[in-house]
Amino acid sequence: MKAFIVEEKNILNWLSKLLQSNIKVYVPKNVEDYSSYEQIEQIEDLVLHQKRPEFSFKNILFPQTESVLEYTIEKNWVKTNPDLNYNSTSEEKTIIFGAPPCDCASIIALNHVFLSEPIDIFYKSKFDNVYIIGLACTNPEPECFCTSVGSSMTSTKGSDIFLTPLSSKSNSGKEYLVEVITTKGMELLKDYELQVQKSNKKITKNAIEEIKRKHDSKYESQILPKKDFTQNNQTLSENFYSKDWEEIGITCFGCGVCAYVCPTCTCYDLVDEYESGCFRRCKNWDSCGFANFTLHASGHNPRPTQIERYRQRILHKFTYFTEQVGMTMCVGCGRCTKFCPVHKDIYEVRSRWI
Amino acid sequence: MQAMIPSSYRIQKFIKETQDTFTIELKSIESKNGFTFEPGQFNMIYIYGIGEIPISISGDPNKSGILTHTTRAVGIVTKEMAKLKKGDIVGIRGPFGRPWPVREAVGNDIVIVAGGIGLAPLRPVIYHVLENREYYGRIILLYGARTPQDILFRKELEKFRSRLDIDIIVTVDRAIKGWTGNVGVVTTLIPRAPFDPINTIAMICGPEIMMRYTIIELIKRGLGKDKIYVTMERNMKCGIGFCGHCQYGTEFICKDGPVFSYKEIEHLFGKREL
Repeated sequence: MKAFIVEEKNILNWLSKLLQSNIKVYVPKNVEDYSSYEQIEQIEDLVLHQKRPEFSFKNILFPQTESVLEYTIEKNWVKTNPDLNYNSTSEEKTIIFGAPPCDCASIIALNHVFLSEPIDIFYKSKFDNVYIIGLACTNPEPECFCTSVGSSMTSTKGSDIFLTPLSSKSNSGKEYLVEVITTKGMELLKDYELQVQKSNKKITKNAIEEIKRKHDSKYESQILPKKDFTQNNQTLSENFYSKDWEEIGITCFGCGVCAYVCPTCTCYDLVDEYESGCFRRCKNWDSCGFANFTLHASGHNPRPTQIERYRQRILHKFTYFTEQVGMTMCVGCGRCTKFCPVHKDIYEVRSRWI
Repeated sequence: MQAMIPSSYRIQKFIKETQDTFTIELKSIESKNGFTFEPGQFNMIYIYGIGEIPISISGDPNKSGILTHTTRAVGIVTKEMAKLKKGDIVGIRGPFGRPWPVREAVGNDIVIVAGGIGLAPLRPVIYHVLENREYYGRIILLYGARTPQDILFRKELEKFRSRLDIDIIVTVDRAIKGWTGNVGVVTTLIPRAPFDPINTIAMICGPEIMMRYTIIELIKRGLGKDKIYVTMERNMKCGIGFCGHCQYGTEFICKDGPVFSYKEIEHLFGKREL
């Protein structure tokens, strides 16, 4: 939509103005022994070019647990709590700043699921108020494979505004390429004018491409070799009965961590809770790796063991979703591989059938 | 309709059908508009404080004033449902899902094949076709139950049969003293059923294994794969294609189904542990 070069200090000034105007700002942050997207109160709490957080920002849009209904049961009557009347105005404006391209891209998959008819109102009320400012990846991890799922260290997919650091000539004034991707991104800049006057260098399309190519090539060698996981989805279905699945799935013990750290896993459960007279119906994260995910009341389970459950996870991400939507339900962040207690490697599994 | 939040309905009537099946008739507390649905659609029924499950609507689609569900007491929620009585409140989300092809079937013979509680989601089809009798050719219901005591809607089936414009053939897996009807699985009724395979739409509901053999028999009779419709079942939570539980290959049974033509899901139907 629009692109320009801005000095880092101007971006920080702008962000600090946003912070002062009661907008919630989340950034990648280390907290005790883990890292995730955390809310900051002041610009000093921001550390740019952090390692990618262990958890994605999925929980900001799709919380791990969320009340969808609260009520009390009175004699012959059910009284619901009207405060849970969701709409877009009930949520605060939120900025997610400095997210790597893999996490930003997850938004596209989440939207495909939750914004299709009949729209998930709980997700939409948050999404409408969330602004995503992506930052080119400078800290790839050994499990990363974003280039194999059609993304890159400078991919703008899912971002409203995207920042790419320029290889600086001097240490004094670090500069960024700022790309405004969506109307939401425009809106952010309009409301809180980014001070671009001084450094409003005109930039051509070719120059943008050159900056990004340079950035990508600098980090490409640090991640897993590029393969094309977006094509030939049929090969996975064709190998539905392959003996490999047994070998792959047998060690899975269904802990569900892969789904919990996955930025695009959207499966949820609806669970009833009760506390001091009040009932709550909660929308909780779920995982197709859990044994009771497909369990019928009759006792029949269409996916009886971890072998079928793990196969479902892979097929959903790389075959079913791809066939329906035209993209993988995987952003190549490699978190599931990193956190799997038995080191199940999604990249290796997908690579078996290309 | 709010797709994610249940609205309250009050039980008007609780009918015990057989030893383990029952019907509830519901009326909305919040709305006077009635409840419109198409045959084959289902609702998510919420027993406040217990849980929520998908159950197909078993009532007459032309009577919007009353919402009817028939089910078997099997799981945590249905067992609680079986304890409900007149005046109790349940939550309803729906109607959801793709209906039976009653419109596409106009001008055709209709073969309905049901097993056990599978008759419940097909009863709205029977109501619909009997109310619009002139639009359809022959109507045949083939119904299999475990024993004569397990025959669902028995009195009503007898009433339908007395109309003479619908063929109802019932079979049981195990007979008891005094049973003079057919004994054997429902698929044995297909070879002799009086329909014209060229102009017939079949609608099947029952256990997956029963549907599989029914399809084989119908194809043997000459029915096209696109003329055979089945309704699928999986664990469901949201009912609207978000939560992922009922994923069946590329399809979500709650949203893309539960009614599918065999042609659409042939490549999935035979797959074990999908």
